[in-house]
Amino acid sequence: MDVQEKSKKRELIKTIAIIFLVIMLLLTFFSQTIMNHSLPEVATQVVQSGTINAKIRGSGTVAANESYEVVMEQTREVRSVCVKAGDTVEEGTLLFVMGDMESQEMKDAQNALQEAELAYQKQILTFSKTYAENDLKVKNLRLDLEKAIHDRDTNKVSDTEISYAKGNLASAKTQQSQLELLLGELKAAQESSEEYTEAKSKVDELNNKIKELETAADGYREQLGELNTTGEVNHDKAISTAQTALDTAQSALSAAQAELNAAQTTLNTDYIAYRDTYNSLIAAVRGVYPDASESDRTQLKSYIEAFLAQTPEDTPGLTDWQNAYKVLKKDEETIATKQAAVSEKQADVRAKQTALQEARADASNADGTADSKRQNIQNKLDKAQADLSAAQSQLRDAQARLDAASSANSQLKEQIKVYESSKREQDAAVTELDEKLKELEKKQEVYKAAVETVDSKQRELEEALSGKDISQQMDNLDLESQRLKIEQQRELVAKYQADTTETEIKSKVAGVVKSINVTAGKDTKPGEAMAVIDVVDRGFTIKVSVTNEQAKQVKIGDAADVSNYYWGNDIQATLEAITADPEGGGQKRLLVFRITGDIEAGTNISLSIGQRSANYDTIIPKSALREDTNGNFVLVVTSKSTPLGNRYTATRADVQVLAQDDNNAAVSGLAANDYVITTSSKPLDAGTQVRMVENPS
Amino acid sequence: MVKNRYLARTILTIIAACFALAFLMPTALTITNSFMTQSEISANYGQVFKNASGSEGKTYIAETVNLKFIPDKVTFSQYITTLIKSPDYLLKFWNSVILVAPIVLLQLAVASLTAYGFTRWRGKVRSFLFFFYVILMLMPYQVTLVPNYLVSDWLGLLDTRWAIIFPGMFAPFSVFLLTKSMRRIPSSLIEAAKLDGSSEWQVFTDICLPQCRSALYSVAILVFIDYWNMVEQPIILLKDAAQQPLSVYLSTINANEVGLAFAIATIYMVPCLLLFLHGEDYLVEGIAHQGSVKG
Repeated sequence: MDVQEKSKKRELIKTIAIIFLVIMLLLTFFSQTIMNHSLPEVATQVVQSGTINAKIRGSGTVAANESYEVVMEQTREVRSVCVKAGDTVEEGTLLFVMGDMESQEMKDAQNALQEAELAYQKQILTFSKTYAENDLKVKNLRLDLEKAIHDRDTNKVSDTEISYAKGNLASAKTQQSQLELLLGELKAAQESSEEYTEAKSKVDELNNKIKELETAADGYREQLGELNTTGEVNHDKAISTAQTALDTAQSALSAAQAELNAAQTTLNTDYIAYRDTYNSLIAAVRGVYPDASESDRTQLKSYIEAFLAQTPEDTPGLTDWQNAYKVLKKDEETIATKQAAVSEKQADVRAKQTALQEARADASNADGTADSKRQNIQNKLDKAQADLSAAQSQLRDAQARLDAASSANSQLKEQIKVYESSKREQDAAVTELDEKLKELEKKQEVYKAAVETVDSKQRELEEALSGKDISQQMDNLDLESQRLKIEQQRELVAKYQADTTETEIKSKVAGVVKSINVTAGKDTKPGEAMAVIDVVDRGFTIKVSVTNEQAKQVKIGDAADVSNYYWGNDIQATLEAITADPEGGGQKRLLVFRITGDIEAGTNISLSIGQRSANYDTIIPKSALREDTNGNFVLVVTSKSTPLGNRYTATRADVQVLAQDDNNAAVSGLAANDYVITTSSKPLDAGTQVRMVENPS
Repeated sequence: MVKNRYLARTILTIIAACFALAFLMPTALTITNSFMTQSEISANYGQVFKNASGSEGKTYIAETVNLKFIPDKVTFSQYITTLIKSPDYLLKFWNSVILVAPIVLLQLAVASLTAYGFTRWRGKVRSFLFFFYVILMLMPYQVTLVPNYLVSDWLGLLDTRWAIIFPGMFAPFSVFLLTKSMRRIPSSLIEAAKLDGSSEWQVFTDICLPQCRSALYSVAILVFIDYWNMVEQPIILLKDAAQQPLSVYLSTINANEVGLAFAIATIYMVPCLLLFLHGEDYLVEGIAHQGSVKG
């Protein structure tokens, strides 16, 4: 049993050993195939000799030959920037809008000028007292000068103050005119409050009517009383009452007539005043509406209104037309109102006349029976009372309307009052400012005169003091230098002043804006370029860095091809100069090309320039040339024979590129029969085992 | 008394178990680590190669090394690389087989014949020769390496596999072992065969060799293990790396291929193990017999 088990175990182990060996054999058999499948496949090419017509390549940024810098010598606020980098500007194109505030530099310059003047005057007044004291002329001149200086200093008024006062006055006047305009509008509104006027006249009228009716009713009652007591009616009283009413009505009619006449006169006057304007308006309206005619006033009015409404606001004479039409329309309306009032009054007079006639008829018919008389009077009394109550109710309505209108009117009145008071204040202020300005101007005149006097006196004094002795001459020289200083300072101030008044900065050259160095709202820095403009007329250059060897292969005047600038095919690059490259450490040179054609500064372009052809022993395809931090290298295939066949390995060979053209490169560091790897199916490292391509074509 | 005996046994067993564990550990480590990823191995043993002055691998067991038995992520990538992706290791495996198999077979043939001669041939020269063999056996291999090299060079065998196979054929230890084994065969057995008309060759093949089977197995296993693990001979005598066996590659391992080395070592272990398992009983028996003879 034991022996059998042992034998079984041995058999099993033997089987395992055989299987192991068979597996190892099989793996070995297929190993080369499997390994080759995983190796990168490479194509190679043998190193050849031949000619290379190399090209030097390089790229750079196009720069303008000349740039213009927009510089501000003062600290000024930039209000707005009107161009952006890359914009093409012409001579006179607006670049910046500056604030018109006085700059710090200007204030400083003014202070410096003042100090210089003071120093000068002080010196002129004090120097060389020893010999000048006895000189009466000098003394007088000095006195005059001192006086003039005093006058000047006390009356010193700067232009800024004057312009400030002028500005104040102008703004006050503007306010004043605005107030006037507003007030006029308010008053017009008040006048045009017809509702109020109508309501008021209605109320008055109704009051009168009520009074009349009450009087009439009283008369009738009296008549009734008399009839009851005496059986007779006193018609005289009724007649006299009717007569009085008629008289009142007639006087009212004549008053209305007078108002109508006045309105008519106003219309005539206005018509004469606005005749030309009105005629031109009518002509213009007819131009638009040919069927407009003076005979149909309503249609004409509607046409005029439509015309005025549709005419653009900036049409010349529109305001005149509007005013003329407004005034004439108003006059016409007033006349119409007055005419209505007159006709009303006429009706009233006629009614009163009828009442008088009735009263007289009553008196003449006094022979009627007492009953019929009473009845007649009673009827009249009833009618009068009914009329009275109707009139009273009408009065209440009218009164309510009047109250409403008057409350609105009172607000208007209040406003008018307020505006009137402020207008008065404004008038006073304007007058005051005006006076102040005049005073200032007067003062400035005095000041200017004093300045001139100071100058003339100074000169006289200088003349009087000059040429005495050496110390005097030295003093004179000092004075001269100070005077020069003052002159210079004055020029500076004048220059700053001229600059300050100029708020628009315009380009002085035509070109392309290269950069903008300021932003709106910020202050400029004196002397710093606010913008740089490339001047187009002066052309462009580009600098390309090459090795010394490459630089030897080209000559000035050679034309280069622009390789990456496709949208402008009329670009020409010509080699203009070869200079040392300051960054090349003596190993490099800069090729300076002149670029002409349609191109902008800042464009990055690549150039290639032909080099003379030369023979080389080792030329490889450029696809075989690799580069890393250690420089250029190629991968060369080295083969090794093994029991399982040839093994190929990619080996690194460092090379130096002597020259290259578009396809090939001449290198040093390779043997003539080396095979270099040109393409590979996988990324390759030096030392990697590779597989040669099956059917090299 | 009985208690004391049990206690002593237990203590001895524990000590033996500790030794067994200590001896088993490298093998277990090799097998388990062959399933680790290269990055894990680098993390575990990177320190060794960082501190090591050369690539001898002397500092494999160091305090700073993280000995791990359980992989973070089991992978067969090392085996795939060894067995499928690259034919280099397989080539070296077959190099080992090509070197070791002839040595074992030829040495068995030569040694068994020599041993038969020493057993059957009687005289003064035999004693002298046998003594000479024993002296040679006691000499370390390194002593004979230089003469071996010179002779190989003289014979023009340098850089060929014969430079290793020829010296391997003539090994005194296997002669000594087989002689001792054959001397145990009773002379009556051989004489009976002679009387029955057996020739000397028949006596050798039909009586001696079957009688010495366990000794032959022992010799084969020992010789196989000896030459399977040889490093010095191929390094000295075989300049071409393509002809060198896998043992040389394992000895020249570098930091980037530790993972591969574990896998290769595991595969490399398999033939030895199989041979041992197959002839385990004979080996024990053969060596035990030698002991009894000596004793």
